[in-house]
Amino acid sequence: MITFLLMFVLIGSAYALFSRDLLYSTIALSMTSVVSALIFYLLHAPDVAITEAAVGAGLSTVIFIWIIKHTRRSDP
Amino acid sequence: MIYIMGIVSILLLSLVLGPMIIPDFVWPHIARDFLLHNGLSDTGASNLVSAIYLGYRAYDTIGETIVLLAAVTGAVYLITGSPASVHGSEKLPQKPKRRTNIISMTTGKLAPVVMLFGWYVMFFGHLSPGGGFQGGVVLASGLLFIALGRENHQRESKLDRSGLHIIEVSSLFLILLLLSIPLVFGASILENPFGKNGSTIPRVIYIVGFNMAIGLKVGSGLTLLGLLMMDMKHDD
Repeated sequence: MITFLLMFVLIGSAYALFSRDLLYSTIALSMTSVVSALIFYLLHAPDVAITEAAVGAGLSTVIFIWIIKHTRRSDP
Repeated sequence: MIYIMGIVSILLLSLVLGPMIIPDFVWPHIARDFLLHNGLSDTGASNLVSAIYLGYRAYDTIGETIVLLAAVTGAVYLITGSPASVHGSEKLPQKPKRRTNIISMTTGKLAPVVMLFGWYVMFFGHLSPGGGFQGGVVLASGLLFIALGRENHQRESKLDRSGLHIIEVSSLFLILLLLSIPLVFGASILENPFGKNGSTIPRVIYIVGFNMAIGLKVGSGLTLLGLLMMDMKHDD
């Protein structure tokens, strides 16, 4: 189960690296954060899971999307 | 370039999946047993993570909050004091507004729930998973949701920046006050002074105070950072 979720994290982060569209990258990164929060919860670390979900999926996604809105969306 | 990225991702894959393949050996358990037996009675927090980072390792937490203060100070200096923000406000080509009601409705309905959860995580950090830092971040997310759903002039009327400054500085002073409370009781600095010698004040109250101060500080600091970035004038 955890190995499967880790593969999911890896695929998501690789897509975030290689994607030319920064909005898709941000959404993939946010999904990666949610899945890793789930992994932390399965590994009996709910504190780290709350931090990961709040910082990774909440705050940094809001800031990234705001920045993409004010700059170019595609990665040259 | 893409080959280097591929090699790096294969290395990372082996790094991630390596501990799954290696058979588990006997981990050292002296510190774990010590915390399991003494953590609740030493600090009064039944959440052992809170017992560590606000009880045994409180110095590290103080350093962390000071790092956050330095980050917020640097961002305020760079964003508000840079000459680009002075020149950038002259004539910006107005982008056509394509704003729907979805964002403002969703953020307006979601933000109170998120902020309530933030307060819960902050105040119950000694019992349930969470703590000051996490609660503060969730609270800042809720406030930034509100800021995201508003136009510029409405945002400034809803979220006062100087008020956030005041909250942050006063919570820093609250942390300093909590640092120096044990000196009054004759204990050393950061040592939990309550609950000894048949005192009626419960021992948890020191942890709760720290959680509250750190949560207010982190929440106001991160909200301030987000608001500064949102109001930043940009030159294309």
